[in-house]
Amino acid sequence: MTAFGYIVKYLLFPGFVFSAVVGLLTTWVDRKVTARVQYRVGPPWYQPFADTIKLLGKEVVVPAGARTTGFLVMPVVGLAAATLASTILWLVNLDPTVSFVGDTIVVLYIMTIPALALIIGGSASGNPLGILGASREMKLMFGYELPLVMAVLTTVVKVGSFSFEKILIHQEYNGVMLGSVSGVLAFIVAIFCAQAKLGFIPFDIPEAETEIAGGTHIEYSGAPLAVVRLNTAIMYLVMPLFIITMFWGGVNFVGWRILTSILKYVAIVVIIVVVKNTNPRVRIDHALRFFWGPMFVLSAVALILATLGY
Amino acid sequence: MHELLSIIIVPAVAGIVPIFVPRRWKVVAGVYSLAVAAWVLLRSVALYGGGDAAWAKFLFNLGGQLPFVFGLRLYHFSAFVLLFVAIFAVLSILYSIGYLWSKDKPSLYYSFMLWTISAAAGVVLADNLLILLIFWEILTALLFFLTNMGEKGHEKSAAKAFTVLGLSDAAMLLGIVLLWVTKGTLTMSGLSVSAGDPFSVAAFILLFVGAIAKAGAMPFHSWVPEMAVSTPASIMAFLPASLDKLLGIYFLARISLDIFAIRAGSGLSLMMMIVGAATIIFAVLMALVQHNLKKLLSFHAVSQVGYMVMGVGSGIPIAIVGGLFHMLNNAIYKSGLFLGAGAVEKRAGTTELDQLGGFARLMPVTFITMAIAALSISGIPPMNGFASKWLIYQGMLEGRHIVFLVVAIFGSALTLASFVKVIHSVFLGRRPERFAAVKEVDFSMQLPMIFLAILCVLFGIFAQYPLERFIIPSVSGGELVNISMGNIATVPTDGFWSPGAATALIVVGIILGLLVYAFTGRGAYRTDENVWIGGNVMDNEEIRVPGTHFYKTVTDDLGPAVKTLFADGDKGAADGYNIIGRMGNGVVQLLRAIHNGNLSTYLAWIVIGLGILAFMLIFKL
Repeated sequence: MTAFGYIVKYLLFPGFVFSAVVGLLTTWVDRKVTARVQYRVGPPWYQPFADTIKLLGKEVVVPAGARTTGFLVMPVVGLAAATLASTILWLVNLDPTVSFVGDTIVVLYIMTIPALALIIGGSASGNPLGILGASREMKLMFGYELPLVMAVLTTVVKVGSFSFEKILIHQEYNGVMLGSVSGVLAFIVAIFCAQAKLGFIPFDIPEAETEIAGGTHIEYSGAPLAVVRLNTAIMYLVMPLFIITMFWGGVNFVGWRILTSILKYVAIVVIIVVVKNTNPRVRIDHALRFFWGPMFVLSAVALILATLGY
Repeated sequence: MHELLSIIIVPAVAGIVPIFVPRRWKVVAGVYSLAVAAWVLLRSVALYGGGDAAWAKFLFNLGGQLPFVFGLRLYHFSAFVLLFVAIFAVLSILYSIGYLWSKDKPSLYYSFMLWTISAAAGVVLADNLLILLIFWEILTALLFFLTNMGEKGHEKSAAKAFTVLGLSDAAMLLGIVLLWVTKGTLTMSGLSVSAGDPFSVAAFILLFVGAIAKAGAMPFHSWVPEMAVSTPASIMAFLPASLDKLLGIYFLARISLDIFAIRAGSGLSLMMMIVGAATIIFAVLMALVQHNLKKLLSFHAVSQVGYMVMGVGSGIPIAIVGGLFHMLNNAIYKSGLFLGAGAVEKRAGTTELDQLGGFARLMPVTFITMAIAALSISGIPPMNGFASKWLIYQGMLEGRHIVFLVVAIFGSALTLASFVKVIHSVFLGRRPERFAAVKEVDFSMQLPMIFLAILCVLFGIFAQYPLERFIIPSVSGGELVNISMGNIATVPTDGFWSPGAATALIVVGIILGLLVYAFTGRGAYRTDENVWIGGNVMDNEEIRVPGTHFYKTVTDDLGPAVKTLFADGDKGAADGYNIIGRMGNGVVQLLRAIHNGNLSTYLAWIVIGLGILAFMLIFKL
């Protein structure tokens, strides 16, 4: 692949444009389902796009006392990283023989960059609530990172390699991870971690609109806010895709598999939306206890079962 | 004079000159030392390119039978370590000139620096374990003197460093004697021990103690955090952050791979990995709750050693390569971080996190270089710390050491968390009014920081280059072939991730995002709105939130077990120095209770003693 080819893939398909469109559509599904659960009509399908375009044209206000450069650049850094994670995952899914850029560890680390960017942005905002949100986001992050890593390692141990290519091929021939006990346990852990990574209820502690008025997002306005939102939208695509790749045999656009791929994606999104709509927000120490307690035990059991071959 | 000998002798002799330079002319001494260090650097570059070399001189017969040879030997591994010792020496001395400008320190400081270079070169080049130990001890003594030049509280920390390192050096001496008695030689290149019998295991453990105490792994770590606050940042950056890591891990690699050939899966290998894992996790937990920038950094200096010990100790080729690469990377970013902390200290007069804030705009160079180093140490791709950790992870998976793998990855997340605290508290956050006039440090101090930050990025994006040039030949080309390595030269390169492509794409993304900013909303932004909370506009000092309590939830709300761990941590968790100190105090208290000054008590003791003597004489015991 040439450098130009890389850039086209990164910017158009399956990179930025594609991921943003699918991600924004997913946020629409989320909003629509939420609305129906609450007996509302919900927005039309183009609402997220309209919101984004409108925000791009609005005035940007940076509070006095904020560290301007860091505050404005960080959302863009997060977006670039989220897009990269999406590109890597899509490319390896569409053609498992072509290993692009990196393996599980690389993607796992790249997926922390959007959260890190939000933390630094919130810290640079100069707003105490933004800083509070940043510290909560960080605590949440090292809360879920441990079980998430162990859930991912369940697959890695079973396959014996960090490479996506081998993980997908292994599942192709030996059945998906979800077909084994350890796979199911790790899958459950990964779904909860995804919920936290996306900052959704019950783990929307860093944003907590009713409590700290948006936390890390509090001072963002105009184009930076649009970027922050796009960031969330792309991560909404990346996390389910990552989980499908690790535990559910990946996605593909060849023949009838296009249908199953979409169904897998929708299934995970529905699980996330249902959890989101049926739970209250927990406190940060509850969240930490949840991830270092039951989730840790569950993922440890999964990992032990995987080393034993179950 | 032989070229290997000259690199030890020249800085040692040159180090005499600064003693006679008056205190107020210490800049002259600094420039002079810089020139000497630069000469050492040039020589080590030449030696690095010149291939293997050796020099030996028979001195005398030890104990009438063991020929004692003053042997020096240069091969790829030692040449590469020597090269980086010289690089860090030049950077630290350059930085010291500006850093000590307004401080009242004697020119003797530079003598100690030059002697340190000399002794470090001696350690790296020595081919005889006893010669190595002598230079090793000289380094310990020099560290003691340099620490003693620190600010308030230096006596205590210098004493602690000297005690811990001195005792571990004694352990090393014991190990060396054991080797001499059992093997009859002390020449490193000729020594090959299979760690099977109890004597070799004991010898290995004793030497291992010396190596990890110098590198600062648990449980011999406590001298590093103790000295962090009072010692000048230039010393912290030079000795515990870079030189001691390079030498400690160099010696560890030499004994575990070269002399003893510890195999993957053996008990000693497991022991080393446990030491590594414990060091990673406990030290980083301590770092999480520190309130002082330099102390926080020193706990990371301990924590990162865990990765190296784990990698080198595992006996798995790719993890060994990763561990040694991490040694190099850690020296780079950790000394960068300490130099940055020193710059902040020089301008703000403090390194207490809750008193700092908002330095990003005042000291942009320090901020950017420290941020890059912080990303590196947290293992964020594409920085160098990620590249070496990635190799260690691969090795752990290959050896199926899943527990160690989890610890290593999780430790990295916690490292990130504590650096988020640093970046917020020092550089972002809100600025206390009294720092409004703070300026960036002089260029001579910026230069080392910039250089190290650039190395962090380059060694991350082009990780292949340092790996192929420095690390892999050190492992496969030299002595370390004792171990059955397989085809190591191809291991890390096969399936290595492409940091170049990833970085290029992220940069493209960032540029594009900034373009979007520029073309929407006409690229303009207002900064005249004050922060508005709970219906009030508040002034700056009122809403300053220092990051020191970021992780209070973790220490306070997670139950008594975690709380106890952290409570002990403030006083130095699992600190052998304190524990032995407490035991020694117990003995002293007992003796004090006996010595109560009553004549009758003393008489009683004498009578009892006489009684025992009489008993033994009568019954001929």
